[in-house]
Amino acid sequence: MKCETAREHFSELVEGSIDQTLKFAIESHLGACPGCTQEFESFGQTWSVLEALPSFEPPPYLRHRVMDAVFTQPEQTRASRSIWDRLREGFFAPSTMGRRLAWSGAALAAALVVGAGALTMHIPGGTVATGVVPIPGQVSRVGLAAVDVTPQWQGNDWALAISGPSELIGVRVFPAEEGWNPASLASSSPVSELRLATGMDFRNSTVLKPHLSPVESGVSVAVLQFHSGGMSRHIAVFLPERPRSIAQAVAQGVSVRPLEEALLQISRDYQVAIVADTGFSATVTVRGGASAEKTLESIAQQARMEYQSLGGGAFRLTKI
Amino acid sequence: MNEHEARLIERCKLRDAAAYNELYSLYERKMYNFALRMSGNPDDAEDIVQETFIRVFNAIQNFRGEANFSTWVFRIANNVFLDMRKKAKAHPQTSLQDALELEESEVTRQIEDPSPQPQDVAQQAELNRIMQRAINSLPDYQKTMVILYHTQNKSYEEIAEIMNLPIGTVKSRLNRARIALKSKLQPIRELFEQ
Repeated sequence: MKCETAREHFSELVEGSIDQTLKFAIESHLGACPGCTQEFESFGQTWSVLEALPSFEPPPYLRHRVMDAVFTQPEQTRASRSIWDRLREGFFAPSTMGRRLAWSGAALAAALVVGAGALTMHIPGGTVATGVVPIPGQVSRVGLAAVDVTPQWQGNDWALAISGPSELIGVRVFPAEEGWNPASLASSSPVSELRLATGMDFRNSTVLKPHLSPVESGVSVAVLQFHSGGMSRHIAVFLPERPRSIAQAVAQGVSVRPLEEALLQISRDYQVAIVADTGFSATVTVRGGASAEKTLESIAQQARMEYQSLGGGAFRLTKI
Repeated sequence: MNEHEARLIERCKLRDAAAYNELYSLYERKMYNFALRMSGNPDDAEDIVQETFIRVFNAIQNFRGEANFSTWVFRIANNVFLDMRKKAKAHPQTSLQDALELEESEVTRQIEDPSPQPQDVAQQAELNRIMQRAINSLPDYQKTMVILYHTQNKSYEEIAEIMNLPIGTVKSRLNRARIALKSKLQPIRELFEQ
């Protein structure tokens, strides 16, 4: 066998996918040819280095950058645009929104509430759920979660909402068929997702209050608080089912406060996240402050005005 | 393509932003790493990822499920890379930083192992850098094959489909690419032997 022929089959030899007869012939050649033997050793080492190349984390801002680019393309490049596309663009326009909600996940974020109450909006063409999420500052309380989701959202998926120090960072839906359960969410996913989203390493964080409710219980909200480097982060996990009762939620370890009481204590800015089951999403910023007295209705009114100023129709806002 | 992904794709065809966001999650890391290895530059990698997802979004209506979705996405990403290369060749730009690095015989700057580098892993990190430089010097078609096979765990069949080449061609060209890499690494062979 010629050296050139033997070397043409180095890859197959390393992979073990080579025909046995050919393998025998090449190995015989290697036994008699020091040059090819050395070449093959070197080839194997090269292969090992290739296999050991590390994988890199995408930068945390990349998702937002890409999603912005995708959904703000010039019209002629879009294959088709629904009314929801147009509404979404309207809401996401920087000139009309004080700040964008950093959605890194799904539109099903709607019902997340941490530190405040939950609302549901009905607008023409679809049902919209809202959540109220604190924007700046650290999380001072854990378990201050209203238990609610939009009853119109049917399904078995989990939604994981991640809240950062200054804004809602993102929401991600974990499909039921992927086998997520409370334990796996608590032990790994929120931590890695937080690390991805914030660029901070939470692997050494302490899970202070792992209030996770079993899926079977029907309790829809669970809150985790992480503590790392003197800063706290919280995560709320909820299920698309309404809890049977507040008492049941409390019994499961989720601390719940009355909606109105939570909202009246608004001392920070909040974002009202509006997400429809059609994929439409937007946010409305509600300014808080030491003397701010916000009520459910005042927030609703502001959201309604902003929504209508952006071309949306009337909607009804109801307490759950 | 699993059932969940198929459902996501169908929702994306209806312009469901949430579904697209989720689909992005499934492919972000793969696309970023592919783009980073291909371009050797995080800035370009981000551009490639962005353009890839724009094209995927705009063309997903045309995805009929005849090919594996992953294959389809990688094919788009590879085309984006090739288009950018073509554009860059037509309008070459040299940054000051690139020029400085070239003076020091450093072809790549950004791809470095981000993990802590104590003494015992420093050598591996150095090998990774050298290997990335060697990969960058390959012709584009060889580079694509090497990256798809060794960093994206794509089979010969998938690579053949992504690159629209016969499988035998993929195998023989990949073998030649590995031999070429081996030759490029020869000068630092002592590092391997330690």
